[in-house]
Amino acid sequence: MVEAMLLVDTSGSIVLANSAAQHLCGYPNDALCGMEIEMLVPHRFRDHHRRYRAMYYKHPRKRPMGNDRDIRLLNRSGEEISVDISLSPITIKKHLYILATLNAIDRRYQVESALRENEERLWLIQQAAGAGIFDIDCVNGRVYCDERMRGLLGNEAGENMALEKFFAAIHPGDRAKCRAVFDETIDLSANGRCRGEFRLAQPPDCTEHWIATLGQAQFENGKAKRIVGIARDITERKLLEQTLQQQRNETEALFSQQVAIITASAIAHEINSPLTAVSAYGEVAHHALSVSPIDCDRAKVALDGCVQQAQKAGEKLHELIGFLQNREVQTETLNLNRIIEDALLQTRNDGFGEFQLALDLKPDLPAVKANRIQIQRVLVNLIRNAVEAMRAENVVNSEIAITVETLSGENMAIVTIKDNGPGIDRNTICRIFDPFFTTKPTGFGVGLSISRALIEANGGQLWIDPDFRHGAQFHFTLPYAS
Amino acid sequence: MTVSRYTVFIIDDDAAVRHSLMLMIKQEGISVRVFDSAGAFLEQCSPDDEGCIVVDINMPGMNGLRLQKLLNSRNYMLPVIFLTGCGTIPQSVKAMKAGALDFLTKPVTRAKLIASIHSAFSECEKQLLVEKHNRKVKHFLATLTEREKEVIALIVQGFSNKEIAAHLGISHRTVEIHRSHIMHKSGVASLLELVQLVNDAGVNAHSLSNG
Repeated sequence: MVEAMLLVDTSGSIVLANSAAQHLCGYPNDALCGMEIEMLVPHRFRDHHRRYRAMYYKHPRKRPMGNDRDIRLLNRSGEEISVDISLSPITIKKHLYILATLNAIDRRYQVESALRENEERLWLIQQAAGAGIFDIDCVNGRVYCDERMRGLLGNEAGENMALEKFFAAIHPGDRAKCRAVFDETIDLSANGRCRGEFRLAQPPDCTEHWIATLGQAQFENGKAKRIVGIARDITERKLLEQTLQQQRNETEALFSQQVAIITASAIAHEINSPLTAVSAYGEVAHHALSVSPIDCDRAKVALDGCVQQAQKAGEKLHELIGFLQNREVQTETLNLNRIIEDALLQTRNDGFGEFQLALDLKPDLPAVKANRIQIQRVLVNLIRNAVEAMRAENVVNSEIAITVETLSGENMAIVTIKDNGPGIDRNTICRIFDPFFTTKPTGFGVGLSISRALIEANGGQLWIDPDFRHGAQFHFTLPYAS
Repeated sequence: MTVSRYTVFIIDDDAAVRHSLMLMIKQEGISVRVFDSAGAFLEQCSPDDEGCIVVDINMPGMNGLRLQKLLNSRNYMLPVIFLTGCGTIPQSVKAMKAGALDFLTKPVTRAKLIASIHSAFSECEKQLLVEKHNRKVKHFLATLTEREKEVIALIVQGFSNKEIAAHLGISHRTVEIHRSHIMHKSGVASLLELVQLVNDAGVNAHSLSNG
């Protein structure tokens, strides 16, 4: 395209205009030639233009006009057109002329292409992040989802669907949590930030899918109008987290096995020598008494040895147990409700969270006096046992009920943990607190015996309900601080 | 009660274990010597000891396995019976490979220990017989003259008296005399036994004739 060019003399008269300039300005050549250049400048800028033109003549040089300001050209039909203008001084026969080159700018095109670029950038970011976009209309209770978002939510999701349907796409176990996040987002007193990680509802045979959402609510007239946000598939991360957690659990299990082995070895080492001596002395005595004549002296020596060595073995055992238990339990006043909640959080983080919870806490429960870590450990152990038992039997609606209350007639709290698993048979119940007794294929059989020891060290008791027909039910007590 | 010519050497860091096992073994008419550490045993043992060692595998200081290794390297040939508090399989495999006679867990019964000791004694006896025989062979070779050695080297290679006489450049009669001296010194009755004896000595005909 040929650029529009005007040649202007020092008096401001147009002396030459090419056809592009004629076309741009809307004047024929005759009209343009001899016309004062200010005729092409909108009225409000004309005086200004004349002053600047005079200044330019004093130091003419090649430069763009207007310092990036929006320069308007007034055409014949009175329309203002945005133009880029560059100026070049030209001397012809000792007379100075200014050549103005004009480029019309299509502002609308500029705005549109900027918008398109922005959209492309956004799309690229969205693609790279694997994010879907949702736009919740809080007033009408409807949700718009882009294609990606519908892909995340599954087949049931529509482009524009009811909010309830949106919630239905969330896993039943996380639906309440999702609603809570929504309620908090539209709460005026909060910051309107919408943030959460949820499982998606899916056919039971599929692996779990997780999404993370991040959004912002917009408020109008004191009410939430709209929540716009993105959601991202975080299944891979969640799986990785679960694997890591499993590894941590296995390491911990291995560690406690090692502790048990070392302890047992220490005990074996301590009493094996006396046992060897007792056995040998016993046989010496037996032999001395069965020969003829009876070797009384030797029998006596051997039996003395027996007694001494048996005593020695007992002493060594007491010493060892004393050493192992010689750690004063550090107790503090604790809110039992809080510890139960912490323990539940820990079990869920440990990958044992797939149960319905019936939690019956007592906010006004007096504080107990106990060691926080030990009690939490016992709770986690009991909850995990319940989950593992239900898992082993493939219980469909696994449920754990935890209640805390005051033990009637005592200054003690009692915690009850009940599951709807297969329960525990009579023979197992008799031995369930024995060290190294286990029914789990990979268990080591120290969990419950340690739990009982810990509760007893904290001044309470741990027992199991002998009624085994409806799942297992464990109870433990802890003394109140006052 | 017969009294055994062999001795049991008990090495254990626990006094009561040493004492009770000693009483038990003595009741069998076997003499016993006790040591509270591998070091104490090494100080007092002699190449003339006959019997077996009963040693705890887990002891402070030098443990049973290291003692066994040391004795092997010193050519001290007494059979070793290990006692252990908690016998691990790798440990017992190691001990057995190093030539342990038995590996018993504590507390050990009289029947097992005594049976093990008796088999150790017969092992010891076997070794002593072998040693006696070896000594005899060495002694026999030492009594031969240089000419007799030359003759015997050719005998065991199957040459006849006539061939030997030609080979050594002596008379047939002289070879016969050397031969009868050799048979007399060796104390064996036949040529076959003589060849066996030279084989047991672990020397070949070539080195015999050279030296």
